[in-house]
Amino acid sequence: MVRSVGAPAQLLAGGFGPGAHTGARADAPPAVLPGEHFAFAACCLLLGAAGLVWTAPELAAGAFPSPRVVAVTHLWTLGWITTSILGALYQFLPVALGVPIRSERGAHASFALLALGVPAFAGGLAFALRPLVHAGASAVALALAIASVNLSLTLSRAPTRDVTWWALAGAALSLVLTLSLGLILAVAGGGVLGPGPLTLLGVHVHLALGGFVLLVVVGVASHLLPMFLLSHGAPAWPARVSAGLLGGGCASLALPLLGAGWWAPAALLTAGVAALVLQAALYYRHRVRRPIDAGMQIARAALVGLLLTAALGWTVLLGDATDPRLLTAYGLCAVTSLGLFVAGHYYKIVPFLIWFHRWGPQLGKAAVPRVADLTDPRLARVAFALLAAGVALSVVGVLGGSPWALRVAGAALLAGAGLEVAQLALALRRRNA
Amino acid sequence: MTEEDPIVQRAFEALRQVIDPEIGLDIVTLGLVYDVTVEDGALAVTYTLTTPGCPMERVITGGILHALAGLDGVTGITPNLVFEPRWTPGFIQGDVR
Repeated sequence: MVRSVGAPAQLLAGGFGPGAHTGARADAPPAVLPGEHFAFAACCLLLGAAGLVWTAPELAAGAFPSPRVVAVTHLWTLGWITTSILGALYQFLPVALGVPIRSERGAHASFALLALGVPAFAGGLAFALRPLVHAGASAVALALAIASVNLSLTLSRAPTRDVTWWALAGAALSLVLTLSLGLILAVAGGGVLGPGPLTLLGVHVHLALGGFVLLVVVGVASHLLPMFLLSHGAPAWPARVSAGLLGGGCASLALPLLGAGWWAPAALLTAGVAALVLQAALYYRHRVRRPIDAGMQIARAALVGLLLTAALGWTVLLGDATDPRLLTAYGLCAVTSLGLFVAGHYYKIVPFLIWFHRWGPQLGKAAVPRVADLTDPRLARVAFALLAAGVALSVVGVLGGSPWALRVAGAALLAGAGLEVAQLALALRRRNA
Repeated sequence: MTEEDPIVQRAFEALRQVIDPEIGLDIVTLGLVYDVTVEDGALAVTYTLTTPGCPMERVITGGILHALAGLDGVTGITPNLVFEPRWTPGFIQGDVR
């Protein structure tokens, strides 16, 4: 069928909303949904980096169960990493899987509860205000329950079952299990840590980071890295292997709860991380564009951090599993490395979203900038150096028991995060091509 | 009609206004435009995306319609999005590095 000139005019008049084109992909939601998540998450990152400076003495002593350390940890894990992931998924899922988000209203409700719950939970822990802890934990629990259901219902309607689908399905399940264990931890023994807390805490942390976060990374990276690096055609089997190993590793986390030890989950999760890093290395090696921008440099540094995390984990397992500084360094390395991975993708995702909504409708009609033009690459490289140095120095600071090293590390992270957030905020204000 | 047709040549030239904002190259240089044909002034553009899950689908399609709508002698435009053959970086014209 040949359309008349009037037909494309109707298409153009219809903009880029639902029904404007007969393509197979579903519409991404309005920018406000990921945007509100990213704005709140950025605030949590800045607070979390400042919190590293604030809790330096406890971290240097290896006091990871300290309420203040737990508070700052959750600013990173819930406020920065999880909120960023949810915001990104609401944008990513419709285009990657071809189905719209099941409930945009549910996504907004989940965000509102997170935005209320995370500061309340972290603030209550940090300043010993128990009612605030309970209120915050309840809001966060409800937020993540809504998000998990929304994610699961969206996945259930997807027409394809590729590695991205399986990884995200595993991530959704891991999120529910993480939340359940977190609630058990919160009420057991009447404190943050109840009877026999170390094993429960370990399973909670590994489900959260190894299950939810890493499975999302596998699912999303297998889609985005080839696009960002122009490395189409690179072997993709390691992503499938990684998703399977991480899923198996999470399932085997039942073993430590039954008193059977950490060997199986450690082996499976380590192998899953190794397969993920191999997949990323293949994409980087097969890339057509040789220069790597700051966002992808940050992501690559984060993957190195994940390998270091795995090495620290095995040091714990093979050595003194009760050494508090080693355990603290292990957890800190995992959280900050994954936080770094997210920070790298902000340099790709946020400018793209800004471009998509501001200049996308102008494409073909007027000169438009490139996505890369929206941020200064030199400043982005400075941010990368600060963030990577902050992660590395924080681990060194814990292992060396140095509060000063941790303060410097926190300051570097704060400066790097501040620079990145400022750049992205400036990109948001840009109007001209 | 063939690529020697003046309308087709002008169409290819106009499509160079449509860039992939992430890569920074236009869709003709990227090798995303597989074919342009014309019949009685009606253009048919067969094109692809770098990946089936590309978030740029609607924007690229809109850009193609915008770019071609103003060409003299064009009476209609049919955008045909295909994923066979699957695009690879080998389709890029020139050196992108």
